[in-house]
Amino acid sequence: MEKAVAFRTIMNEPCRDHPDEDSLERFLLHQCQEDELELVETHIIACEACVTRLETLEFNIEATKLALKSFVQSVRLAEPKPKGSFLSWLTLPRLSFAGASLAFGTLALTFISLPRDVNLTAYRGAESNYVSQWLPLDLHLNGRDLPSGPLNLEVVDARGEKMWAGSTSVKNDQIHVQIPRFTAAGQYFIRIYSTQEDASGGLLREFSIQTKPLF
Amino acid sequence: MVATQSQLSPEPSPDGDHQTGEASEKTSKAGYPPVEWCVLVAQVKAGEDAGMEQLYKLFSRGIRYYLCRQLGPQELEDKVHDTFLIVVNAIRRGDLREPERLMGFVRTVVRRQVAAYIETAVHNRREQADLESGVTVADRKQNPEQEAMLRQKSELMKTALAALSKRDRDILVRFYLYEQPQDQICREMDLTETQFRLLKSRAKAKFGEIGKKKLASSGIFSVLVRA
Repeated sequence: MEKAVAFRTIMNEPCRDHPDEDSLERFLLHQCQEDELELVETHIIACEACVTRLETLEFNIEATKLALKSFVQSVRLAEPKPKGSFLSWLTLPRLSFAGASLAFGTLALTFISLPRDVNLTAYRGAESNYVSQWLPLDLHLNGRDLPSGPLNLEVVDARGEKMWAGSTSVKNDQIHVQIPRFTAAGQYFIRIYSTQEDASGGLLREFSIQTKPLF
Repeated sequence: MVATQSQLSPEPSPDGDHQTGEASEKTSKAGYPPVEWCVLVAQVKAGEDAGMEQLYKLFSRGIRYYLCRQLGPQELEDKVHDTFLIVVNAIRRGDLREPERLMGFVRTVVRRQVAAYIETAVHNRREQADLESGVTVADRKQNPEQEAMLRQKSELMKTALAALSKRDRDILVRFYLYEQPQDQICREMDLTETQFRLLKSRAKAKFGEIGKKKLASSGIFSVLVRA
């Protein structure tokens, strides 16, 4: 017993004291200043009890972190999403996509609005002329031997139903007329009438065309 | 007779949750067990088994913990053994001139060991990057039982968190989750150092209290107490 007592000396070293919980927490979270780190490290190297405290504290901190992380996430999910301003919508990818779409739309609109030139020289039955469906047509019809002056023009489908009608005239042996686009594929007839009806109903000439999607 | 630490030291409470500020104060005052460093160093120097045994008992747990924390559990026993060999050899050579500084001396040796292991690991990684790059990664994973306990505890803590005030919760989130330093929290939350300490300890105490109530109501507490 006397020997045991002789082992002990009173040491006035700060590292002899057990660090408080805040110090241990700072140690575990790597937030100790150099002097505090020295005290805590020197102490725990030789203090089994404080190592046990550290292990428990480490476990508790880990559990607290997990709980806080989960809690913060659940709070964030529960919060209503703030309505973004119009400007926040304008991101680079969205703007790029919108620009590309607009350019494509403009090109497509321009393309389908431009009339296609069609020269018809043959009479009905002699030849099949294929023209573009969905595109307006700029017709150049053979007007040789036709009387000068105003003429009526009709476009009828295969069943004889009138699709379009207008007036025109012969210039330099040609009849020039623009007709709107055909929306259905099939056979159509272009008929030229005299403005003065006679026994034949005034029909002067007829052309045949076939429409189908052509670009 | 060898006076070991466990015989001499009134141990502080290991449960951080239950420890109040008062208890913590007591703990700090209780202090580390007085050990006759001169005698211990003399015994080690003389190669006496008693001295070696006491040295090992005194420092093995702390050294093991420190090395494991810094380097991971790989080859831990070897590293602890190497550290002891260095300490013992240094004492025998008479490198430790002031025996009362043995704790600081051991700490310095351990820190140097950690630095040396890290340096070796870095060197090996450079040399054998393609072959064994994973060898030096510290694995601090808990075992499945500890993982389950951790999850269970965090679930309970999560329910307890909802009962805290926003301010209290904010302090805990900043300190534990985001690991913000104390001065940053004080600055951003407009708190003095004392206010921060008080608020944090109050939040933790409340947190622990609510957690205990939840545990008790769920019936787990009695099981844990028995365990």
